[in-house]
Amino acid sequence: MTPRWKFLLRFGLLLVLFEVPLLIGPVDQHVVRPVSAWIASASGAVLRVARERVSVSGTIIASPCFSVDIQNGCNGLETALFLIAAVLAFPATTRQRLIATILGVTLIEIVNLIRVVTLYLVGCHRREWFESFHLAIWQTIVFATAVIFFAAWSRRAVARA
Amino acid sequence: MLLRALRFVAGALAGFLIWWCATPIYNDALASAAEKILSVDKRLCGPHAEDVDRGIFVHPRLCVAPSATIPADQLTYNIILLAALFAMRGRGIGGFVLSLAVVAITHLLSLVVSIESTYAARNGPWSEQHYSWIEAEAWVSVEFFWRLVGMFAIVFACWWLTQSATDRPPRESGERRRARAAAPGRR
Repeated sequence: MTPRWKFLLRFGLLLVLFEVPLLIGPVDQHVVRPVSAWIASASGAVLRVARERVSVSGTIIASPCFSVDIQNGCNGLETALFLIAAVLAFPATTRQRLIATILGVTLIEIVNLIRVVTLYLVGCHRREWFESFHLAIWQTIVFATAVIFFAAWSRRAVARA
Repeated sequence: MLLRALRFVAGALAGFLIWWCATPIYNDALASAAEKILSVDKRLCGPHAEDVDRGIFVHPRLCVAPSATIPADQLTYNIILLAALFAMRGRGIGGFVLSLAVVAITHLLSLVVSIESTYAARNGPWSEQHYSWIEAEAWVSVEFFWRLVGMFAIVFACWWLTQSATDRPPRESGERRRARAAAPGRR
């Protein structure tokens, strides 16, 4: 088996190991929802700075104009776990992996925050565009961030080794 | 770096336009292929599937069973990421075509899973009568996993596997390393 296939096999196994728990009720309640609530709270703060009159309750950002509910799959957690699975599957030192995980997850959550803020604004001002932006555009951007970050990091990790 | 970024954006735009414009035709092709696979499951009563407003409408032909509408365009938009990643690389048409074929097969399978999941868990008493609890959970979990990360993981896997030797990370040759170490002013 070539190193590429070995990497993909490890990546696939880790991905299943990390993502399947997200489907379990208690994990959703105690991990996914608090992360979503945190994203909602941070997005609400950004929107208030932009003079949008929003209120945040749990995972819901609401206003007279539009409301969004941040659910499982919209909080960046699944993309962060995707990146962590790739980083752990790739041969590198523990330090390199740790740095990549911290930087990568931070980057993904920042992009996801921009996503939620943008989606609220799109929903408020151009509701007919919301569905396309919600999945096709923003989900692609968030995953592209993870893939490009990983590609850049893996090149550096190999070059340093 | 800038050129790669521009290529990525151009690829994403092209991918988005293709996905947006070709969805109705593509859905038709997916629907007719899925029909053949789903006919194996007798509970679905020989379903007929057709493209309706960027989704696929499924209705049984041979007995009384509920109909369902599947948002099929939400299963296929990973081609935007595929186009962007391959455009960023700027070469390897063969790899791209092969990846496209693999991703198209997964589109068909994900549509089948999505239809089964809808019939297994979202048709109230009919679902409970025809699918066991374990079966329903299994279909819903596979669909959820696929839509959450699987559809992007397959694109990433195709892209990763089709990297050419020139895309690999630069490695310093032993001769060059020795030369660099021996260079004046370097330790």
